[in-house]
Amino acid sequence: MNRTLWIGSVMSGTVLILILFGPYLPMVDGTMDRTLVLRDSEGALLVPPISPSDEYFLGTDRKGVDLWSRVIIGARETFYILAVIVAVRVVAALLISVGAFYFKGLRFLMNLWNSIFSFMPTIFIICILLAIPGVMFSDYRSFWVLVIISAVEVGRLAMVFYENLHRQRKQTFMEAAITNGGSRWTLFKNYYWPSLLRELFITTPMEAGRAMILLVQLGVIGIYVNQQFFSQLDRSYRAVETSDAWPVLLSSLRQDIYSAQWIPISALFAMTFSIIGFYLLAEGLKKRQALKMRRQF
Amino acid sequence: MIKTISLRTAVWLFSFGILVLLLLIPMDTVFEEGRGGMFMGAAYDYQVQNHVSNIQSFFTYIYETGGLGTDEAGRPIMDQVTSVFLRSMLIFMPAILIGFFVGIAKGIFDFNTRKTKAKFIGQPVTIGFLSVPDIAIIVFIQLTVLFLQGYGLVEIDLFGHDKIDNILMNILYLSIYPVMFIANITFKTLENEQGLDYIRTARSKGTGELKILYRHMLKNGLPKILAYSNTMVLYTLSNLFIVEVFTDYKGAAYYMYTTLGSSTTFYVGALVSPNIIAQIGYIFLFTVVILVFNIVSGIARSAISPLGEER
Repeated sequence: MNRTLWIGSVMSGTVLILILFGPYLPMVDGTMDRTLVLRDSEGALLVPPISPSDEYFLGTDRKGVDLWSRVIIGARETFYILAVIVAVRVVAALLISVGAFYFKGLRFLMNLWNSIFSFMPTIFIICILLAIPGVMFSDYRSFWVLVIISAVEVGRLAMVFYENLHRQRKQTFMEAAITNGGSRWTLFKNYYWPSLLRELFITTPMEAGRAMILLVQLGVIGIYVNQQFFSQLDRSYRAVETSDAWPVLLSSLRQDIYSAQWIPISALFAMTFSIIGFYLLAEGLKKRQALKMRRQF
Repeated sequence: MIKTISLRTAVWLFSFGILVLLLLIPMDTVFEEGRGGMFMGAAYDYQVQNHVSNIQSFFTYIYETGGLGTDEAGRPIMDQVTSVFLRSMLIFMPAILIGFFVGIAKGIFDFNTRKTKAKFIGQPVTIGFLSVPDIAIIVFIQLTVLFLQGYGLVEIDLFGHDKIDNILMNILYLSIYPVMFIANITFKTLENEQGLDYIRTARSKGTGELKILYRHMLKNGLPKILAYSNTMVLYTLSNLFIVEVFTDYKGAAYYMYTTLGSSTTFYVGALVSPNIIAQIGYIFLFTVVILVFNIVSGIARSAISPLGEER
């Protein structure tokens, strides 16, 4: 029995349930009301963030919103962002890799792109690109952030797909297919595409995990996908995250570590849980494919 | 070898050029202010001639000052850049070195224990650490320290940059990923070498297991491990950014973030950053570090085998 696949599926399934039925789950307050002040049993005043108690299973965040509800309801938005990033990455990488496989010029461009990006640490380049005023004040900033986050890793993914195609070409049965007179399209449809599809099954959950790690890192340094600028007292403006996505819970991480540990712990737990779920799913699928291939030959 | 070096240097120049171009993008933003300086929005239009003139003035500036010039207070920017950069390297380099040595040791340990009961602290742990986001581990370590501090057991300063505690803790945070990454590569390399004919021959001739492991398998695997150092360095630099910003360690990545930091805060009308020169300096030094590791891994890669990795 493929235990990795089972555990991975169960973990990813849990996340899926949160996304689909989040607001209807027990103990979830769909309205996400803010509690400003609360009195405990002895009559003392409690101000948010309120620590975990009977009433608030995971405590509340700094605005007084029940954390349990916020984490579960935030799942939908988090994974919406994640899905867009992964989809853009995978589709772009597929197009680039197939193009590079057939056309020399594109192959050169892909290699150049990759070697240029090998000099730019991901977080650096994302910060530099986001600081361009045209991007920063664009009306479609969220869109650009998603594009930038997806684009910086497209080259690496395209290389993975390209190597898969290249490996496939080296197989001995490909020679047979070619000598039998398979046209370019037939070869692609019957040989290259299925092999790419197998790769895709493993890579997509893997990418989702990677993208999530990136979102966590960006969340820690205060970069989110949906941001609005709000004025501060000193005529400066600060970007404020306006969504319920999980990375936002890390925005005041440094204070929370001292005073409200339950906030980062729940956020990091939710994110780590889904990342590990995705990785196990990918590993399990890989194992399953390996077994299947062995049986075929 | 010369070809590898020159090719990579050329690509480095090219990507450094692109980064400088991006940093020199003109910042002509028109802010729309509402009542009392309220931020209403900002209009930005990009004009090529402004970009070109920015680039020209940058090069004349570099040429005229013969270095990076001085800041408003008259201190040479070059000195600041190098001293801050060295502060970053003080945590980055040890982390990479620990990554190599401890990582290879951990990889060998994983390999040796893969069929014993101890394997539960071997390979699965390595994979586990690799898939958990580093920041989760860092927060866990910090919470543990704070918890112990509550009982007066340890006394460690977690945030800042001027104490030895900060340096040591940051080295610890930064080295987690390299150690696990190298351990994983070492494990995979050893596993691949495992079934090869020359190992069987050595074993049948009665060579000791330890000798086989170190003399043959590791020696042959080392170029492969080095070849991946590039990915590791890149990822660790990304991490350096996170760790420095998060723990308030005022190194080069921290300053790059705060001066670039306009992605999270800005002042009306003050978007033109006087720190652009310093940023270009940091970018230069960071990419040079990457270049060095890039060349090392490139040479290692060509040393593996001229035909590539297929065997």
